[in-house]
Parts: sequence; structure tokens; C-alpha cells
Amino acid sequence: MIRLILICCAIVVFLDIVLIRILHLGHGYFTFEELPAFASLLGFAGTLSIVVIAKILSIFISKGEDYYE
Amino acid sequence: MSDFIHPGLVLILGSFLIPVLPSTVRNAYSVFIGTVAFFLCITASPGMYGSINIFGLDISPTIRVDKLSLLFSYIFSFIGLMGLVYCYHVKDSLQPFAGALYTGASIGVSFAHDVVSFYLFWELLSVCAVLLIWSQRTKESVEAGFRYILVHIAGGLSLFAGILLFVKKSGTFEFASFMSYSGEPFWWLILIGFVLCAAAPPLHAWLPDAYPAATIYGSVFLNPFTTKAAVYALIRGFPGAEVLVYLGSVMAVYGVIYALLENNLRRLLSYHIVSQVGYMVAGVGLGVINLGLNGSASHAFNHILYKCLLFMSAGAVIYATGKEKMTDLGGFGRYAPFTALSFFVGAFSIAGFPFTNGFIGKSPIISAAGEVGNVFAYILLNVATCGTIISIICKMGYYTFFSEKKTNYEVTPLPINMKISMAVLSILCIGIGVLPQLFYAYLPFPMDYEPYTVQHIIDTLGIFSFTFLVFAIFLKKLSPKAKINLDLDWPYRIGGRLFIRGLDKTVVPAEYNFVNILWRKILHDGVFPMGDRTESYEKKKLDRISIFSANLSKILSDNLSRIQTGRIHDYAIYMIVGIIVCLVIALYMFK
Repeated sequence: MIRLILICCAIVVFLDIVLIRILHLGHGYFTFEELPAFASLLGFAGTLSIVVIAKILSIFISKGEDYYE
Repeated sequence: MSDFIHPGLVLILGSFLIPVLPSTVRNAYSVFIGTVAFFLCITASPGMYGSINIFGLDISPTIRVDKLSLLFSYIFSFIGLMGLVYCYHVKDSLQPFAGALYTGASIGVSFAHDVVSFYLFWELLSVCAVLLIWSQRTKESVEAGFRYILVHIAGGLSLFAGILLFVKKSGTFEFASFMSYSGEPFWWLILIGFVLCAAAPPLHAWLPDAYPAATIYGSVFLNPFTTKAAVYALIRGFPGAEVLVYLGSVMAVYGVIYALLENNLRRLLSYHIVSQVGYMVAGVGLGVINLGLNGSASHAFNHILYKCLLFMSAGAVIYATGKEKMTDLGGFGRYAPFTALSFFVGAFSIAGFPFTNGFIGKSPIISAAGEVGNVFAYILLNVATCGTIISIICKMGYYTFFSEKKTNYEVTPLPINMKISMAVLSILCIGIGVLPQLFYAYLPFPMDYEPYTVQHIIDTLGIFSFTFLVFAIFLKKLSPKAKINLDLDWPYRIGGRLFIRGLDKTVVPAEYNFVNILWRKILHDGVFPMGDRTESYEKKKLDRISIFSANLSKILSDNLSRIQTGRIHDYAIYMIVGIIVCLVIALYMFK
């Protein structure tokens, strides 16, 4: 399963570099989007930060199911 | 109101027949009026109609039919119809009744031209929602319903105060953009009323609290109307209000973080409403360009389709197994491939995968953030997409339909009507995603936008594949836990309880030990002796008066009884004498 996902990731990064950086078939709105495979990077970092924030938050807010009883 | 029949009023008036009809025809009738309302919406022609005389005010026109209100009325009436089909097999009459009424009220909101009728329809929404929450008839749902109505009354009062101040200030009843009054107190009051119904933090906790407490049919009706009516109101009233960009972006991320921690299927989906409405709110804030407002409208339209599909799929899981926690489910895809398929259509749509309506729905909003040059919104909305993918496709999808079975649940087959409505919505989710320009033609403002660019597709695929990668890495860490997560309803749930307990400790003892004793003292030392004194005074003085008057009346009645002989000819004589006396007086007077 994880191998399949890694292959997908590699294909997307490859396509991003070929189609957008080399063939210039699209352009972003901001200068930081000129980074190669910026969206993939954002996807990885964004998801990671959401997972980390949620896990830290859960220490404080997760309670037993009968909390409000 | 000559050539326009108000579909909302048809539904509202028509729905009152539903509870009195026999159960054999009740649901057929409710689907019938749903269909009538949908056809009235799609045949309505733009224009201004109607006038009312209410509270001594003459208001005209009251109905506005333009592209924006039509777009919302199409989706409200359509989803109302789908909801009525979904609950076709239900014996309870309250749910189709409240559902049809709710649909009618939201169509009324979208067509209202003046603030008075807008407000009346708006308040009707909350009433219907509470009926749907209570239709579950459990202790939790009753309590959640009360919390819902208390929060919405507070929001409604803020809106009402704002509307009154607005009418006083502007002298008009027209519900149009308030942006020329930006920063006035009533501007804020109305905005608070709207964003409360849009479930924007910190005023959002009513939504994940109440929606999972309703029946599975109730939550299908609940999820499209109130929040999306609020989005409509924001598009109409607050286009380009900058505060909404930041509020919406934070909302979008806030919702997914909570969704990721949830265990209850419908509460997870409820947090996604908060998140998705965040996109729309941000889009309204980016409404300085048409792309933002069109994005909000298109996202609201498409969101209703896939969100109802998701709620229907979650409802189907709950209907089939009786479980609604991921810690009790797992491996369900094996038993119900149809439910799994429709769930994943909805899940990929909400995450915005290319060739689903979620992709074409929210793309204009993110592009608008790019066009305006708002980095904050651009990054946060993209991060919220990551959160949507990981919490709904990955976590909910994996731990409900795949993974190993966690309890030994039994599977009840679904009624055909539930399957029909889920199939129709799935087809629409894909269909609109494949043919975006056909749909964009119905958007309220002119724009030239193509969602399927190479850059956009590659970016989306990149976000998807790397989010899956993170999920695969954290698979064990993200397994659902049998916990609940505290949200901002904590202050009024625990706070309310502490308040009462605080009263028990302070006011009650004070009342008992101080006020009570003081009161007794006043009674003993003041009031009772005073009473005794007046009593003896009465005996001495006042009694004589009553004895005297009694004696007087006795003498009078004794004398009177002497005349009352009881013989009929005596009375005849009295009458004749009386008549003669009357005649003499009369003659004397008219002479």
C-alpha cells in the first residue's frame, strides 16, 4: 500500500517538474509557488502540521465519553 | 403576485397537511409537494413580486427573484426533495413535516427582498431545526435541542436588533449589501447574527453538538439549510467584508483539526460543515472580485450535494448496523458496497478531487485568494484541503469501510428509496464535476474561469498523494479513540452547570439564612401584632356599623314583606297603580 502511494507521489513530482517548470504549462499566483513541486510540499507539510496540532490539542481536549453526564 | 407562485409558501402551507394525513399517503404527499416546489423554483422567472402589510408597515416588493436567489432556491428545493425521498419509508410524521417546512423556510430566505420577511423566514429555520433534533426523542437530543434553540435565539436577537437599527438609520426595508454602512454597530450586529448561523468559531459549537443528536433523516435535512442560508445572506449582505477572509480561513482549518480527532461519524461530518462553510465565508470576504462571490455560491451549491450524500451514507451505515462510532465499526465495505461507493464519491468530492463537483466548486475561491494576493487565505485554504483529505477519505473511509471489524454488528439491508436518493446525488456530484462550464452559467455574477488547468490539476494531485503518504505513515497514531473532544460549548454546558451550583452555594443559603429569617422576624414582630390590633379594633368599632346596617335592612325587609301578600289580585292592583303613575309622569313631562 505505502509503496503504491510513494510511486504516485514520485509521478506527481515528476509531472510537476516536467510540465510546469520545464514546459511552462501553468503559473502560480505567488513567487513562492515557483519552488519545484510546491503543492506537494504544501500537501506534506500542511497535513503533517494538522496531524501534529490535532495530536497536541487532543491531550487537552479529549475526555471520556461520559464527561458531560 | 400574479405570475409568481412562491415555492417556499407552497411547501410551508402544504407541510401542515402532512401530520394529519393517514400514514399510507403521507410520504407520497410529502414527495409530491417537494416536487411541486422544485418545479416552481426552476420555472420561476426573475423579477420583483409581492407586497405585504405587516405590523402596520406596507412593504413592497417582498420577493426578489434574481440569479443569486434562484441558484440557492434550486439547490434548497432539490435537496429538500431528496431528503423527503430519503425518509420515504419512515412512519413518524414529524420528520417529513419538519423537513418540508424547513425547505420552505430556506427557499423563503433566498427569495426575501425585505428584511422583515427575511427575518421571519430566518427564525422559522431554527424552529424547524429544533423539531428535527427533538424527533430523535432521546434525553441527549432534547438537551441538544434546547442548547441549539438558546444559541439561535441569542443570534436571532442580535440580528433583530441590527435590522431594527438598520431600518431606523436607512429608512428602507430592502435587504441588499450593507457594505456602505461598514463598521456601524448594526453592521456588526447583523454580521454576528449571520456568522453565528454560518457556524463560525467561536460561535460554532451548536453545530457539532446538535446535528449528530438528530435522527439520521433529521441530520440530512439539517446540514444543507441553516448554514447555507447564512452563506446566502453573507453573499447578499456582506460582499467583500475583509474580516470574513480571515474568519473563513481559520474556520476551514479549525473544522478539519477537530474532525481528525472525532470518533462519531456524524460529528466528524459536522466538523466538516464548519470547515467547508469556512471556504464560503472566506469567498464572501474575497468578494471584492466576482470570482470570490461566485466561488462562495458555487461551493455552497456543490457542498450541499456532496455533504448530503455523505450524511446519507453515514445514515445508511447507522441504519444498517445501529452503530455510529468508528471504534465499533470497520470492515463495513464488505457488506455494503453501494454505501461504500456513494460515501467515497462524496468523500472525494468534499476533498476536491478533479472531476468531482467539489473541485470545481471551491477552485474559484482559492483562485480568488490568489488573484487578490491574500497569502494567508491561500495557504490556509489549501492546508484545510489536506485536512479534509486525511480526516474524511483516509480516516473515516479507512476505519469505517476497511480495517478490521471491531464489533460483531449485524447488517440490515437498506430500503430502496434511500438508495435512490444516494444514487441521484452521486451521479450529480460526478456530472457537475465533469461539466463545469454548464454549471458555471448559472452562477450569479459574470466570470471567465476554467478550473481544469494543468497547474491546478497537478497541484491537486500533489496535495492528494502527499496527504495519503502522511496518513500511511501515521496510520496507527490516527486510529479512532473512544473519546469526546471538548469544544467551545464547554463554557455554557459546564458553565451553566457551575452557575446553578454556584447559586446553590451562595444565593440559596443567603436566601434561606438571611432573607427567610428576616422575613419571619418582620412577620412575628410587625405584621402579626398589627393584625391583632386591627382585629380588636374591628370588634370594638367596626362591628357596630355592620350590626346597625343589618338591623336597618331587617326592618326594611319586614315592612316590605307586609306588602308581599302572595295574592295575585293585590299584585295586579299594584301594577295598574304603577302604570297610571308612570303615565301621569310621562304626560307631565311631554306636555
